[in-house]
Amino acid sequence: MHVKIEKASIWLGLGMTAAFMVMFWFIAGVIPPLNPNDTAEQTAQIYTDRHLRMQIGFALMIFFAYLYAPFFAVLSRQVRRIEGYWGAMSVTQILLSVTFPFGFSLCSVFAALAAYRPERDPDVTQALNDVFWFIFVGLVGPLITQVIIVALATFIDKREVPSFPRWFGYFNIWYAVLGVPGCAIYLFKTGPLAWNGIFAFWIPLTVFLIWIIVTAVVLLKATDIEAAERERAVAERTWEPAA
Amino acid sequence: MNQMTLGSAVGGDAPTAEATRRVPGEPGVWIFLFGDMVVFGVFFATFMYQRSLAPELFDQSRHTLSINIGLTNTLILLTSSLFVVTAVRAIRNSQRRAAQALLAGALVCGLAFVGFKAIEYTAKVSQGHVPTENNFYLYFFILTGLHLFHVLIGVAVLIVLLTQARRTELSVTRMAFVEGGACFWHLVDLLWIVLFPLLYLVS
Repeated sequence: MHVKIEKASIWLGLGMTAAFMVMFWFIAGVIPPLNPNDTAEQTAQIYTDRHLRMQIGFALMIFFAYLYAPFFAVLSRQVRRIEGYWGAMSVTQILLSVTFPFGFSLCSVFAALAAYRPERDPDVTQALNDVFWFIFVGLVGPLITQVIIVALATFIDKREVPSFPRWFGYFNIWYAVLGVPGCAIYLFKTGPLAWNGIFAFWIPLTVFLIWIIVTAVVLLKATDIEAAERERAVAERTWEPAA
Repeated sequence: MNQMTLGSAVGGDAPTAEATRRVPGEPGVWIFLFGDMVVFGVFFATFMYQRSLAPELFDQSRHTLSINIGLTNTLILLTSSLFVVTAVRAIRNSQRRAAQALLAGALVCGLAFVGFKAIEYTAKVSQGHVPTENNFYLYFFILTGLHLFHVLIGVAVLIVLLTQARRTELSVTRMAFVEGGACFWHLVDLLWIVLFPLLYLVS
């Protein structure tokens, strides 16, 4: 049963990623992104034209974003297994795992707010729209810290059968390096580092999609490794001591 | 005498090195290195595309860059790569002193690169060439900035390698880590070798 729940959590993370693309791309229509260089009137016009689509898309995200939590729970548990007890790495992993679903939900609240009364002063709609993108694209610190922790955990794992293969550590560093440019959107209104730019939006989005698929596959294998370890522990009656 | 022992050691090593061909560092590190190269390839392609949209503007702006600083930085990075190669060889032969001196040399080169970059940025901004001036300068600052970010990571890696060079015996994992770190520094060098002509020279 344990293995089934863990694996279901991992699949849920992948399912949520597919749902995120549907909600943001096809329903709300914020991928491809709006243009930060648009005037307040142009931005307000987009929210007026698509207000129903946007309200539905963001309402779904506000509700469903928390289904990402079990995926990060599995990731945090695997880091804890490497650490051997609830150390700084695994606890930080849990703390930051909260920001991921909450960040999705929070940014959607602002965009839903912008679409809620599009007839208001365009400046207000523009400001709410800015907050949406600042959180959605610009808040990269938590996830980058998390993947750096996963990379460190991979490298220090000295157990006979490690949870993660070592290339997964380097893969996470790759993701961390490419995720960083997202934090520059606060400084640009045009060009590749604006929130609709190739370096700040399209590459980080692509790399995130690759990351979550690869991480899911690695976590599925880590769950099998853990299950085998547990079976051995039961057979030899050597349970993991409670920390 | 020393020369002779060194020569015979190298001569003795060569056939075994040929017999067992292997990837430097652990294979996993190449996921990061190739992944990074692919994305920088996308960055370079984006620049070339933007350039094709406004060739005159890009060519005019290119002439306002100081080729001397760019060229100096190119030579500095090439020298640092040479230091790193020889340092890894010294670590492999357990020549601690030499390895430490060579890595310190590479570190000085890395910091000199950062210093020259700071001088260049300050000069450009004081001349009024800021990222918002035009698309060329936007991409100039972003591409060199992303590369500078890699140089800073590379400097941190070199410092870690310096701590490893103090050991006489390195385990297989540690040696692979040292090689992987050295490969990352070569990647930083390689990216600049592409970036320098792309920004400063191509007309």
